[in-house]
Amino acid sequence: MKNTFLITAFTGILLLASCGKEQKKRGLDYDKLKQELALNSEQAQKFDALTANYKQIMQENKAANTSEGGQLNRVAFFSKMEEIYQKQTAEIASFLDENQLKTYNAFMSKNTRKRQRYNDELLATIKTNLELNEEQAKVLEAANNAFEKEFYDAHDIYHGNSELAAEYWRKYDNQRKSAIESTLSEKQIMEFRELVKKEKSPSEK
Amino acid sequence: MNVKKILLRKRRKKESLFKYISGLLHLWLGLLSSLVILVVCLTGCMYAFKNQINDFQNRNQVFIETKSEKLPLSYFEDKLKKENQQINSILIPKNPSRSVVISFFDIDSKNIQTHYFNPYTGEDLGSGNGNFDGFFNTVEALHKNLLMGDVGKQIVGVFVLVFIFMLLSGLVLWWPKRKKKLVKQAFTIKWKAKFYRINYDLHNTLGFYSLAFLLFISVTGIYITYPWVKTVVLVSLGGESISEQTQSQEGVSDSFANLMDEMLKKENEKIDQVAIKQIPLDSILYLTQKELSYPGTTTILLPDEKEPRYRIQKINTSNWLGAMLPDIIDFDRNGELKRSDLFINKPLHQQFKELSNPLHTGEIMGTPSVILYFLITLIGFSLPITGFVIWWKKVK
Repeated sequence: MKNTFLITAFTGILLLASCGKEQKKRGLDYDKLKQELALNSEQAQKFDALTANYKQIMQENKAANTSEGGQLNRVAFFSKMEEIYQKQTAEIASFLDENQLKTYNAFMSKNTRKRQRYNDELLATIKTNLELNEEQAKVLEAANNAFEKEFYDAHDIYHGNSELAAEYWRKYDNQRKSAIESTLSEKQIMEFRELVKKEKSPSEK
Repeated sequence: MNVKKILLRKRRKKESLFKYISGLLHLWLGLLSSLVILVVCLTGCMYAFKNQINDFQNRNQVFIETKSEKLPLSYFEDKLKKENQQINSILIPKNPSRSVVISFFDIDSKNIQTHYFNPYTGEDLGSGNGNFDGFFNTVEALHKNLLMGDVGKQIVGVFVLVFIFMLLSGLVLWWPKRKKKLVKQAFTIKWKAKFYRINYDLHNTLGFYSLAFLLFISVTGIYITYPWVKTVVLVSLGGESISEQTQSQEGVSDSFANLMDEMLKKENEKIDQVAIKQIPLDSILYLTQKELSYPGTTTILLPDEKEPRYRIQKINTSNWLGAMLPDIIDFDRNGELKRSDLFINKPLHQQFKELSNPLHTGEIMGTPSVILYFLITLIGFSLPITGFVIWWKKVK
């Protein structure tokens, strides 16, 4: 009896010790976001219904990509997640005021996982500002897609290690830049470097 | 009780110095690491059943009654098209009593949904419920970092290294002398004995039987935590070290250049094939079966504005272990094979890299290996408890 008590106490202390620490919430903390947005009751109701719906859609998307022993196609998965977040933002924007929307966008930008690539906006800016011809535009897209695939393919190696992830990111980023710059003129290269200089690995952002 | 006496016991007669030191370290490190090992093993054996629990929770959607004929995939394409929906991806399970999973979106609103469909009747079974996802996320975080972020991850990593030492020092302590009675004692549990003897046997014997598995699970676990372990494993399997892999170089590497070629072809396909109508899903399934003729769960991602190809992943379990090995092939909109990335053709280090996670979680062979891993990690969970009881008996 005494031993049973001791074992139980021992296990209990263990669980308390591990659970007592500050818990870092996984995923998006919508309760915190709601507080930051200071929503009125009508907005809060819409916000809850909408985020619950999109949470479900995201869970379904993940299940569809990984069930039955399937390995996650990270490029396709994050691409779809990006679309889902964009859709959610568009719907939420319909009932937020300007300041709330700014807060919402800042929160989402800080807390959601971004696709590791030049986004569509930056790609469009590069194409326009550098006046890329069709072939150069194709190389830009191809190098960007190759970068994304290489980086996600190395995920099993750097998984959970942000420093290592940054090393891989920099390596593939250098290759992406080299591939793109190989088709650009001196002037275009200068402008290209200026446009992408803020692009950093996830841990350096 | 004299704790000092117990922690620094004298060397027994005829006990080798090696065994004596192993015994002391086994005791000290065991007491030190037991709390963390308990949490890691308990959460590990809970997490092993994540997919099975999710399937059970969604049993009304996931499992269906089998019939003689499955409907063609065109049935689902047409059915959804009538509702102004377009298929995005489809998962066709190998198991005939499981439903197909289809992701689709509304053509106007672009709203995405994922539903289960009965492949025999075409019935839309609705979407699944992910109520346990939050719970399993917490279990996973406890397993990886005790809910303490990077610090916790390092703590877990260090104690798993200690656990590996415990397993090896445990083997030294377990090793029986060449006496028939002692050999028998080392391999069996005397269930009719008193509590402390049963407890001792559970620690000693179960520890021995689970040793190889626990070592494997531990090594594949710290493989995730420590780059140096990755280097050791990958180099020993013929791959490059992590520092070689991350080394920056001037210009474009061969592998990046090959991938660039592939991506450039896709860019051209986007332009060339924009007017081409996609071939039916049944034809893609037929072509897949022609390329990969074994039975297996198949996932088809359909082309869209940004991706010009059908991307197919098929899980090959037709091997002596029944391990789930993923093969990937791509077809263009004409049904022409554009890429074939077969698991069997990859170098060993690449194969290990792809399978390191299911090898660690036990999902590699599906439910049978998950059950095996559950039992093994349950034993791992019991070892600190039975070990503590052995120590406590001596202390009290």
